[in-house]
Amino acid sequence: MKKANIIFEQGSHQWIAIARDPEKPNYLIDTNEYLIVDDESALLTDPGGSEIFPVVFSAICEVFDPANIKHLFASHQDPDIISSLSLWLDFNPALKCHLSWLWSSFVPHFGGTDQTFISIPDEGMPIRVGGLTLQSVPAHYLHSSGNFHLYDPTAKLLFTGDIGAAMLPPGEDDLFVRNFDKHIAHAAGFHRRWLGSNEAKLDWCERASKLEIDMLCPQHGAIYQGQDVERFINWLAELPVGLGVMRRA
Amino acid sequence: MKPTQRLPSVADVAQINESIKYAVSLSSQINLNALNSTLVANKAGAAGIGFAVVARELRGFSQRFAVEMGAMTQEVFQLVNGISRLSNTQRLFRLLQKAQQQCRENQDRLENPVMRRGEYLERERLRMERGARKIFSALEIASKRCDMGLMIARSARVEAAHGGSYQSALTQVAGDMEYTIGEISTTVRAIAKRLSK
Ligand SMILES: [Fe+2]
Ligand SMILES: [Fe+2]
Repeated sequence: MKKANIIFEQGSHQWIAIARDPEKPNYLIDTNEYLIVDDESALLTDPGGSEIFPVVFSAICEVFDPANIKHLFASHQDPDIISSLSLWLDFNPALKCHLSWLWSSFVPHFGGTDQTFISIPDEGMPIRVGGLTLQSVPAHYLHSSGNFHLYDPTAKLLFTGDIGAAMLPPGEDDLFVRNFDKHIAHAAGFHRRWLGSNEAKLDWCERASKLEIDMLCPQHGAIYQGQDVERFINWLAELPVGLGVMRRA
Repeated sequence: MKPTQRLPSVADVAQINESIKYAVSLSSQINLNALNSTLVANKAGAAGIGFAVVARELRGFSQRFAVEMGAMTQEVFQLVNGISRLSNTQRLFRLLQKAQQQCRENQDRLENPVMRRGEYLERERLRMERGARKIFSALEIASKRCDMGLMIARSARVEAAHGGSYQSALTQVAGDMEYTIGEISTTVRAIAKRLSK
């Protein structure tokens, strides 16, 4: 079963991590969803695949009235990110889904109409949730060609979708990274194979290093905090990715 | 087909579609055979008149059969669409229900969505059942038409016996047509059986 964990709280402003589920069947990739709350409004990042909707929804219900979720944010178009869309829209047809313009005619195959989507231009744009102004940060080609992260400047938390993802072995289900060197070994293969462009990667590393980040929150694996954030950005900058690496392998 | 019977699967409907195509190709064979044998009967002169009349009837049979099967193909297309949509809706309904069961808090939040999906599902299911029944009755009509076709083909065999010097050629083709119509009839009955199983 998934569990909701509050990872940031300041007054009515919260980040709630719906952490990965140790009981999930192995053929489905495990995911984290983050609920960014301000008072009676909330945004859910990468709401997940349709098969995990029941566990995500019920875990949210434990701590928050889902009727107050007004926005969905999809970092990109993958099924593990947004194939639950039609179920979320069954629940609340007025939900808005923020997504790269590149995918706005693809993701409706998962559900939704032209009323559902708010297209994010390549350079990113602010997303208002309650009294918060979140910033969608370009992360194109990492791994998807239309790809965004979501930055909360007040909380100093960055949601990074597939970036920072780690495929952790069973038993290692800590919410946070505890031992960076040990952890990053589980992230290396994923980043090397999934990221197509060194140029795009360095571009993102530069952008991310200019942000003040207390926690880097990926869609898969554990959350990086404190010094590990910078460690991760530096590690990624050094990591060779793309076709050249694959050919050499 | 009783209203409570289960809907055919997408695989069933795809198979039904193939069988319809097969039956239509057989009926166009009848059309061609009947046309050719009319030409032979004309050569037989007065002795072939009776056969020519019956052969025209057989062409009529094959053309009407093809038109009716064409209409049925449209229905089958809608059915296959509807059934695949239905299985997706069923999946979503199941996931919504599961979510509702797992909620310990805010459980009422999914009451309306589950109900709406459930009602939609039921409505669609009934619509598909109506579609399937419509196809089934069209098949019954087609089956009766085949029985008539068989009778005409038998008359063709009788008329062929009066075909003078063309007797054996006409008897041969009349026998072929009788056999083919029998095959069409078997195919139509098999479709109906598959649809109502
Ligand atoms: Fe992805
Ligand atoms: Fe992912």
